[in-house]
Amino acid sequence: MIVVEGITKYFGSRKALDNVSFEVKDGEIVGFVGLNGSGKTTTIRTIVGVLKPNSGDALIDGKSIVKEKKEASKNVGWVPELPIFEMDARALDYFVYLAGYYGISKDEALKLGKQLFEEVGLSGRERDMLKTYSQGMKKRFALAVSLISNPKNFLFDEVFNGLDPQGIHFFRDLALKMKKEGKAILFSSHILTEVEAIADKVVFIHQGKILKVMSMNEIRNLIKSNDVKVVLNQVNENVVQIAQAFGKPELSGNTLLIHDFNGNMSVLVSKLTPYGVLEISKLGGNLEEVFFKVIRGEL
Amino acid sequence: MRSVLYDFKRSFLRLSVLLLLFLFILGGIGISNAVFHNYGINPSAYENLNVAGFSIIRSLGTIQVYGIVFNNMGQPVSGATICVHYSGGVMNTTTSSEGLFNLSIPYSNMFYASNNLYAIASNSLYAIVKYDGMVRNVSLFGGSTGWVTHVVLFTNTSTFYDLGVPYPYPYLYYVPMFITIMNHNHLVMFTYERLNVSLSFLQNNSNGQTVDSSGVSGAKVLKEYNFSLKPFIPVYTTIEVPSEANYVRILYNSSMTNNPYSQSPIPYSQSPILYTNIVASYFSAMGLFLFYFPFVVIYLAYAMFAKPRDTGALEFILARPITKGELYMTRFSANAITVIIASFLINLSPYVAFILKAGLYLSPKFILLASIIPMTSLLTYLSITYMYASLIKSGWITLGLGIGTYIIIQVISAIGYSVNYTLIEGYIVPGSISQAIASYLEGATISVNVGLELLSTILWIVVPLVIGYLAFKRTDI
Repeated sequence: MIVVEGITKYFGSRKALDNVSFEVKDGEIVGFVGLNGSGKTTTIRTIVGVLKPNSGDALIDGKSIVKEKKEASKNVGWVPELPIFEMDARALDYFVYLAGYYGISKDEALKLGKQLFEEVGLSGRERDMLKTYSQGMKKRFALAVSLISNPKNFLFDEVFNGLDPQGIHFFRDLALKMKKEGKAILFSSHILTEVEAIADKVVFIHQGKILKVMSMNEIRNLIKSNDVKVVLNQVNENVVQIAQAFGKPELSGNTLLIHDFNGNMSVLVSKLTPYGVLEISKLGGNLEEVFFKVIRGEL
Repeated sequence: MRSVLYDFKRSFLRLSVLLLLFLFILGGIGISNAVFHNYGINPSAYENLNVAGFSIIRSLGTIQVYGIVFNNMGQPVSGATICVHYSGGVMNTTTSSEGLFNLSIPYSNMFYASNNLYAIASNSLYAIVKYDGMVRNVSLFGGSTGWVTHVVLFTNTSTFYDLGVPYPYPYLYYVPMFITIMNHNHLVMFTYERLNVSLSFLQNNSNGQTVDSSGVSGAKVLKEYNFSLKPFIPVYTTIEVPSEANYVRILYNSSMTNNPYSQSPIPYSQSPILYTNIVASYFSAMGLFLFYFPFVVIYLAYAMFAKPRDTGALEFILARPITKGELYMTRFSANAITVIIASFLINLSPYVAFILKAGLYLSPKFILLASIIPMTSLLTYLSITYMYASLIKSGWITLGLGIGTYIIIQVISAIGYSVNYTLIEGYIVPGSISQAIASYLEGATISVNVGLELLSTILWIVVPLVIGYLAFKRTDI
């Protein structure tokens, strides 16, 4: 479990984070969304112990990252957006080196390294220099390192950025698998459809402040609508008359929008069949709409 | 500690570090070469081949040559080739397992006077001794002019302790033996007549007086050795020389003259003459190479700390179970171990060269103390560059500042030569303890305050290290 307690962070005179608080429970995936420069990465770097907050703290399974850094770090994994290592090292050697900080002997680390490299899809690339790794491979390597201590908490920072569809699929499945294992996962992303697909909760951050923390159920309720869209092959005035029996119609070209739909979809389709029904769907909002509403202060 | 070792292992096996160590070994070899070739130590002073013996006028027209060949460790050299050149010819022989050789040489420049047989010394009578690529040229008269009678001592020995009495008196009218203390207190003696010899090591009393023959004037006889020598049978043995001994005295009783002879005690130094010559040159040569080594260490600090900090690579490490302070100290300690090893290598490679080339074994204390000289200087620049890397994020600026600081200190040091050498070199510049160490190892008087030098040296390392540590802990990396 990750508990962020009132973190404030200054870079010089600029306040990057302003009293940021939220929590990620065990077995929960929390999406962390915000515009560029909103403070997502700064928050994650602070939680992981790379940055020291000016005030506030982050508790990793109850251990303070500020006061008990070593203990807290053992129980949190981190995959940065752009992982940077000492690139002239060979991947497995560097893995063994980093495993040393967890008190793992060389032999154990080599064994563990081979196993984790296979799990993250880097099998066969263990002896390669890190500088030859692609962006996706670097993220997989960072993941392998994060798994050294099999932590219960994970931070994925813009992990989908720069990944091919296979990579996105890999990390999405991994997050879901970890959730099933009862781990706490915080992941920031610009790809809101991905957040929508896997998150249980969304934390909205803007200009260093947490604007809203909403569960996905709340968001789904917000974006639920009762409008129906019908695309027809041919239209005339009769189409609008037919539609009035189902709600408030609005015709735009060959597309018929019925607001406040109150009938049966199959009956509607049968009545419009003479006009050639090409497509019919219920319209709904998405996370993006909610996101902008939150940013604008409308929610 | 484990993290330090991991960091050390990983940093130590980097190509740049291995290259650094290779450079330091090359530097050490360069130092040894400079000592032997650029600082005026004649090969005859260190070649591991020595010759001594007697030319005896046996009869009109014949000189009998008895000699021994031994190395700088005072061990006999068997199989050495001896070519004796005389007017009209050359005679060859090889040495026995005891290093002995014996030749009867025709020599016509002799005459009788007052019933004594004399030979006229000449450059035409000499021996060339060859062994394992080394060559010694020995005048069998011990000189080239004048006339001699009966027996002449000849030697061509590396400058250890030739105790020929009175040294370096070449004509043995009254000293019927060759005696020298070679490396590691290996004693070599060779005589042409039966002798009882007493060799004493003394310590002068507080008034600077040495003991007399009866040992009553206050000085202590620390160790005494007695030997019964037989003609032309060399003695190779090891003696123990007390560390407090500063005088040596030889007594002998000749069977031929039956007169006891007592030599006045002569000053004795714990270091052989070869050591003194080499060490003085050694520190001059090391100074030359020390000018370049800090550049390598500054680069090491850049590659291992400043650059990863600049690129952000330290962040990923800091997400491990380690604090910032520990990260700083483990990296520094790992690099410091590399510097310490490199400092030993600088001294070990010439040490090996001295053994192989001159048979001169320097003590472990010498290697240890001599290693402190580059070590303190290099640790200072490592510490300074780490400090800059903590204060400034840019790796290149850190590298530039490290080099700039070194150059400024060199300029201050150069000014010190003309302004106040003792103050600036002795206390102000980094690694000033090297002044005291070099003086101590050279056997010279230490004219500086060792405590202050030590304090200055430690402060140069510790202060930048602590500033860097505190800055790194406070600053976001």
